[in-house]
Amino acid sequence: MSFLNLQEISKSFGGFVAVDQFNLEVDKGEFVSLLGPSGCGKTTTLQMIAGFLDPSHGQIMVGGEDLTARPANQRNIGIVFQSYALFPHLTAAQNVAFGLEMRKATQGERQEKIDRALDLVHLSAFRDRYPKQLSGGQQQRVALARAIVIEPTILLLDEPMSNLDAKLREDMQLELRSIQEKLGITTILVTHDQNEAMALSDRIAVMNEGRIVQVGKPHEIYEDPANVFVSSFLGKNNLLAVEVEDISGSKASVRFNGQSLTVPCREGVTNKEAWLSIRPEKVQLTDKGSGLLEGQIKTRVFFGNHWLYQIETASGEFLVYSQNTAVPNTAPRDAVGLNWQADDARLLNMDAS
Amino acid sequence: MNKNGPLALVFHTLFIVFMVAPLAVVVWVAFTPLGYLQVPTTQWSLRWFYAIFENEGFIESFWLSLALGIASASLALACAVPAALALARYSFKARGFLVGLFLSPLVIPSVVLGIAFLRFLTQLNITGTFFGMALCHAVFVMPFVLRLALASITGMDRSAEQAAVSLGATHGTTFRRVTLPMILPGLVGGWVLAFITSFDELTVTIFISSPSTTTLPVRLFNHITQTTTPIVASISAVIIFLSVAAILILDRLYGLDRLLVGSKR
Ligand SMILES: Nc1ncnc2c1ncn2[C@@H]1O[C@H](COP(=O)(O)OP(=O)(O)OP(=O)(O)O)[C@@H](O)[C@H]1O
Ligand SMILES: [Mg+2]
Repeated sequence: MSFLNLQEISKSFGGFVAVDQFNLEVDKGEFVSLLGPSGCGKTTTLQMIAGFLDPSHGQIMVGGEDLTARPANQRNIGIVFQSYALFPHLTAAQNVAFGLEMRKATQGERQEKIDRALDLVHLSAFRDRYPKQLSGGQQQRVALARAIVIEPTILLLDEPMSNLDAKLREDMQLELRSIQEKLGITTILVTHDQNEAMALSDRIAVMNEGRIVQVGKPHEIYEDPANVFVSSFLGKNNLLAVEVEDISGSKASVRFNGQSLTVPCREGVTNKEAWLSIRPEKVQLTDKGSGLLEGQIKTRVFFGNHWLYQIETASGEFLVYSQNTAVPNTAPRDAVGLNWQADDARLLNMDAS
Repeated sequence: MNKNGPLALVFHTLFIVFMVAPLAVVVWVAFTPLGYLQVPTTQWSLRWFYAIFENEGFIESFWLSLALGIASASLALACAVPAALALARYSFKARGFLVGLFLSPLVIPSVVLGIAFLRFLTQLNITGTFFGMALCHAVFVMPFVLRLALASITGMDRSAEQAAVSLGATHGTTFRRVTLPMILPGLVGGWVLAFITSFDELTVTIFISSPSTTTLPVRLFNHITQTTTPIVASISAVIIFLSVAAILILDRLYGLDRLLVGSKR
């Protein structure tokens, strides 16, 4: 039995359905991300779990209890907001103390827990500063300390990193994950940053237009996306239009450019026309005339640990990442061949379903 | 450093001169030893300052205006906060109408308001009472309080309230411990504007004051229509000093920008 259970929850605003029959089971201590484009209903879902919005339909179960009708202030759920939402008139320590005061904790117990929480986020030295005297990253950590000090059953994070610069974001992601593991707290993170979702989560729920499209471990959905939407949303993607000749079990033979290829195929691919999706890092550049596709290098960008190539082919533009091997052996306008392992390609329906 | 062109500089200088010069002249005149309004050049005296304390009528009126300002500003604030919360956070049919109603004292001519208030107080049989005057002044200063309260509530980050609720606070506690402190600067600013407006209101007050409830502006006005002793100048000077002191204290406590412009810290 899972710990947090969202059963068929929906939310409509007037006639507009923001969240549509959302089903998700989360285990105790698990870290799950809701990932999706802007406006797909992530925040709405989170607000329903927190109790700030009432679902139009469905139930929210936590530890076997029905929480759907319980007021937000009795749910014992910790939240970190995108804007941090610190209380500007209280110091860091007083911010952290707020939830403990509401729980009528004794003075001694309060002090001890505040110390421990601030210590956990490495802010003990800043306890008497007001939010405006703290940097963005420090404010964010106060917000985290304030949310976890009440020992919530669930921790909800709504795009907590989006106001941090890239370097700080990476540091905070690592720190957040280690704190979450240390406390073993069931966590739901809302984000539209696929790298953040993949780096932090045990599982990712990819959302689109109010619905869950796919749930799974990060590498599973990256390697085996359910459809073109998931494939394109989680990283880069080369799409090649192919003709499906035959499907037998989990293999399909497809035709493009006058050649046949046998590739892995999910259930549900039925149409004659389909996409063959190949990740840029799975494509190798070969000598002209020896690849599955032929093309010409349009641009070449150096990223330190890898090169990014944009290559013009008869079937459209291809993106290729190749490892930096110290010596660049190709140059713009070179004619090259493109090659990939048949097993690295995925066959997907043309429409996003 | 100086980004103003010469024309702008002239404009600002003239602007400030025209603002400050009358005040300076009034303060200057207050130090005359003579019995009529005259700018002293050779002789100085505190005679007209002492005269204030011998005139019980002015002292009484001062306290009345002070009390009236405090009472009406506080009453207006007490009504404006819940009103502003509702207006800022809910959209309902009568919203636009209510905003217009609360702000209408700004556009209705004072004479019309004065007559209306007088009629109203007579109907309720509370003409010439402090309570009646405070009620009228509260209506009159409402726009100032409401505007600043609305601005600070609209500008407030609501997720701070959600955070408080998620930490276990009831709605009442959330309002007291989070919302109120966060909008306080705007409320103080509104209160100060309301107090000042009430304290020196003349046109409306003339209609509703009685011999036993004569505010300071009304008494000064009455005084000038009969005689022109420099006591009006010395009283004005005292009020100017008190205002400057109050402004300095407020600036120290909250920062005037934050109070009156509503800028964020
Ligand atoms: N109170 C509301 N009234 C009407 N529509 C709303 C309301 N709240 C949200 N919506 C709509 O519901 C949809 C989902 O909103 P939500 O805030 O959950 O998106 P999101 O996935 O969090 O997006 P973002 O990444 O931009 O934060 C949006 O189209 C939004 O316009
Ligand atoms: Mg959102």
